[in-house]
Amino acid sequence: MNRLLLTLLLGALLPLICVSYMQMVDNGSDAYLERSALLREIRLLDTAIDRELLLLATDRRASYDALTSYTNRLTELNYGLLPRTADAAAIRAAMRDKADQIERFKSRLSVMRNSLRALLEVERDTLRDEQQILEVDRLIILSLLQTDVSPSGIAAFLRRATEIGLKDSTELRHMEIMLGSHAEVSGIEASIATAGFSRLLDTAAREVALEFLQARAVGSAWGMALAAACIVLLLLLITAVRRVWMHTREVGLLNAELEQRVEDRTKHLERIGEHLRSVLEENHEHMVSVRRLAGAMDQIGTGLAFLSADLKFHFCNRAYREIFELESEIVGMRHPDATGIGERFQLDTGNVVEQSAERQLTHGSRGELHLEETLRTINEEESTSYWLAVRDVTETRRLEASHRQSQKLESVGQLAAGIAHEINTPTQFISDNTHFLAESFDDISKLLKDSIQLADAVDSGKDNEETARQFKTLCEDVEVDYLIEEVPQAISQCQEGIARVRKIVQSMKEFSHPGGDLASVDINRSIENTLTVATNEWKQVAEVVLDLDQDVPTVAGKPSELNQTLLNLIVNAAHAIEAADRGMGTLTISSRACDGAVEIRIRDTGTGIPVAAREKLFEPFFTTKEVGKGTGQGLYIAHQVIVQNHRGELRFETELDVGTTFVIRLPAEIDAQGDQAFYEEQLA
Amino acid sequence: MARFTPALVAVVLAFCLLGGCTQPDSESNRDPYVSDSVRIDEAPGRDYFGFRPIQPSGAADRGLIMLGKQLFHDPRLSRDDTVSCASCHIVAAGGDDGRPVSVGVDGALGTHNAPTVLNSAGNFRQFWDGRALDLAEQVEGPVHNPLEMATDWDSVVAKLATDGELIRAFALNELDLSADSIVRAIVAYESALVTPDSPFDRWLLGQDDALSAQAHRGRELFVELGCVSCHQGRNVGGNMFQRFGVFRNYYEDRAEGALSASSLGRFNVTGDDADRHVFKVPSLRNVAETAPYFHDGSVSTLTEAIDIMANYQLGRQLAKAEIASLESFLQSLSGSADEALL
Repeated sequence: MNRLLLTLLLGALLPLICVSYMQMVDNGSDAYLERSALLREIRLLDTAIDRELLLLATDRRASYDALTSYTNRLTELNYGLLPRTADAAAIRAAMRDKADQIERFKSRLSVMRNSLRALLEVERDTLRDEQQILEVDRLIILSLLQTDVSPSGIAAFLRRATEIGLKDSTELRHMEIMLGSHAEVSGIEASIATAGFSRLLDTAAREVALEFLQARAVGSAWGMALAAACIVLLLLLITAVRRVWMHTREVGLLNAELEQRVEDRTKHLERIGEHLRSVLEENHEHMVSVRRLAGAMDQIGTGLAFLSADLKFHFCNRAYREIFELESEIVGMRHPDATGIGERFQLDTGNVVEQSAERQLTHGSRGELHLEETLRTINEEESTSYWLAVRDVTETRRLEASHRQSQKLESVGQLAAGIAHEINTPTQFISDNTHFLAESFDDISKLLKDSIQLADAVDSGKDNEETARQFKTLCEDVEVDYLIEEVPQAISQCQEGIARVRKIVQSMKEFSHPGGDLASVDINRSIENTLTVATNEWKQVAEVVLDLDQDVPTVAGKPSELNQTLLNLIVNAAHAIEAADRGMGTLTISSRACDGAVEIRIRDTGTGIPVAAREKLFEPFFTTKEVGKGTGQGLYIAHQVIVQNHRGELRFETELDVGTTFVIRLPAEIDAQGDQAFYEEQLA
Repeated sequence: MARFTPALVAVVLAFCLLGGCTQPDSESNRDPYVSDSVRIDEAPGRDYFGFRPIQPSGAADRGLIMLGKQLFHDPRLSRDDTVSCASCHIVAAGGDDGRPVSVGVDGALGTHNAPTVLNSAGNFRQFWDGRALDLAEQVEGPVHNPLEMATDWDSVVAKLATDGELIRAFALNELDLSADSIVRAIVAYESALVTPDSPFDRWLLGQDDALSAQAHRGRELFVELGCVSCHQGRNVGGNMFQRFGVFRNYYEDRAEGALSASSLGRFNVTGDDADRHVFKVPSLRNVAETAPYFHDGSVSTLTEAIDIMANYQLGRQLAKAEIASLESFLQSLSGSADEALL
């Protein structure tokens, strides 16, 4: 409050001092000096002119040069400087009037002088009488002293001159001119004398002085104001100095206290500093380990990204950056595939803690990539974040595909021996029977030839009885009855054998239907073909019971894949029965139509699946068989084919030492038609 | 440092005060009441009835004078580029043109006999009727007079503005091309056209044999007869007005009788009856070179002019010998100007 007041006071005081100083200095003295100089010069010129006029009138000055220069100078003066324009105009007018009068004076005076001189000269030339000359001189002197210069006065003088004896017209004219000029000169002198020029100048001078006095009075007032302002300023300064002095004393006392406090404070700060340093050191170590951890993370092949709730990067390792071709500075950036992540995973449920998905991605330099993404949701105190792990499974998938192919070849190889055997058996008895038929045909042809001879003998009239007897003997020789009984049997056995071969070949052909083209698959037929192809696998250990529903709908799928699956399951079942070692087992295969799907059940009376193996049953490379017997691919591929490639289900029911039933469920083709695109995509 | 501060403040204050005191000096040194038109200086010498020897003033700058000379001879100051100042004021031949009246653009005839430009700065007014107070005012007259140069400053300046060399000449004199600058230069030149060193001036300066016996007689007559009453001062005239025809009316006696407007003289300026036939009394310096004579150039010889003057102004009939003596004296009034200016 006090300070504001002081500032206001100073703010008012300083301009006041400036203004009053300027007003005091500008007291009109410059204008006054200029004006008085002008008036002084006018007066000096006026006086000089008057003096010149006097000198000229009394014939003590021969030339008008001086008078003329004074008059000219008077004309040129700057009357505008005078304080009042009225005065300036009046003085200028008066001056002009005076200048005009002076010009007239100059002319008249010259003329008057001339005539006077001529008169005085002529007088001496023409008048011989001294008395007359004296008279004329007296007359001239009188005329020069004459105050009455009216025309009548001049006429009186001229009359008097004539009386004296001036008869010559020239002389009289001189006299007249002289008198006239004299009259004019006198008049001009009088008018100049009474012009009141001095009075005008006096008035102007008084006004100039008055104005100056007024200006000075105003200036003095401002001076007083200045002095007052200065005194107030001085008082303020004294107060300020006094206050500063007192402050200094107080400050001295406060200083000691303050120093003590500063010391205490410093110590406290030092302690804090110590603490901070240790914290910083810890922090530094922490930072180092974090950095090392990050470095380590960069070394692992699995891509790792730590994302915020809105899918912005907190961190991601090198593998992740390489897979998604990201720049190194990505912290705070939104995941470029945020939309895709939202589609593949459930983000908003806190319950789902870990989810996996597989996707394909076209990488700039590495071509098509198969990626397995795992999203782990971390819920911490109102904030959610995600760990996203990405594994490049391209190589695995490729290996799987190649394994599948090799497994297919392997099973075909295994089957080949069985199939060869299967074909061999009918071929064997076809061979035996044809051999028998060939022998039989020899007997028959011999019989036929003898019969023809007998017939000829009959025709030639031989003894019919003899002939008949011979024929009977013949028939007994070749065992006609035996032939008639056995030959057709042999022929039908041959036909049966050929039919069996043809069936095996047909089944093989259908089983190993080449190519991956999508087709309508008759599951029953697939089952039959597979059984046929695999006959050698189960024939020795199990009896097959088929319970096929002839009305099951067809299934859209890849025949070769499905056949392979069935084969795997049937072979597994046979192996399980064999492993159970309880003599001939039973392999029951059924098909049913239910709810727009086809259900296939393959039941064996084998060992059952051990509890420990059940969970890993469909994992790749998992096998319970001896090393070298199984590849661990069979059930994994079966699962892949049914579940992934055909959107079906594959499960099993098992009981140790009782048996296992594998249940395949495949959607019927009709229902799957809408999903044609899906199949095409999946099976392309 | 702190100890020196008061001293420093004192010194600064002192300088301020001194500055405040001395600053206006350069301005106030110039007398604001004296016009800067150049006048003729009087040389030392005897004062003989107010006559004084003359010499050129050293006031004007030589460069400005030479620029004035160039402009004085420049016909572009007339409407059709035919007439310069020098057309009517031939400085090498008496400062006039030897004609009764001068010829302007398109052959127009003037109304007055061209007065000489020589020593014109010493005349108290300019023109026969004295309507111009000084040379600066006079220069305006012929430029605008339709019978003379018949133009105006804007046209003149526009024409001269195309002359780069001339503009450089102005620039050398620290002037820009303008009417004022042209007038200043011409006035400076005219003011320098002073003819000192006439026999009469030499006599005034003490050289007794500068005048012949006849001229001495003429000098005495000039004073005795009263010529000096009007033709007086340093320019032997040119410092007053006088009526033409004091003793008798000159115009009534003129054979030709034709009264031109110019014969009314100063009446044309003031309208005052007293100024009828009143003219500026011309300077008689170089009068022998400035025939023909009088305001209308009606008289071609000095003899005749002297006779008329004695008759009408002085009321005297002069003898031939007296006229011859006066003529001899008048011839002794011819001086010579600086040759570089001719």
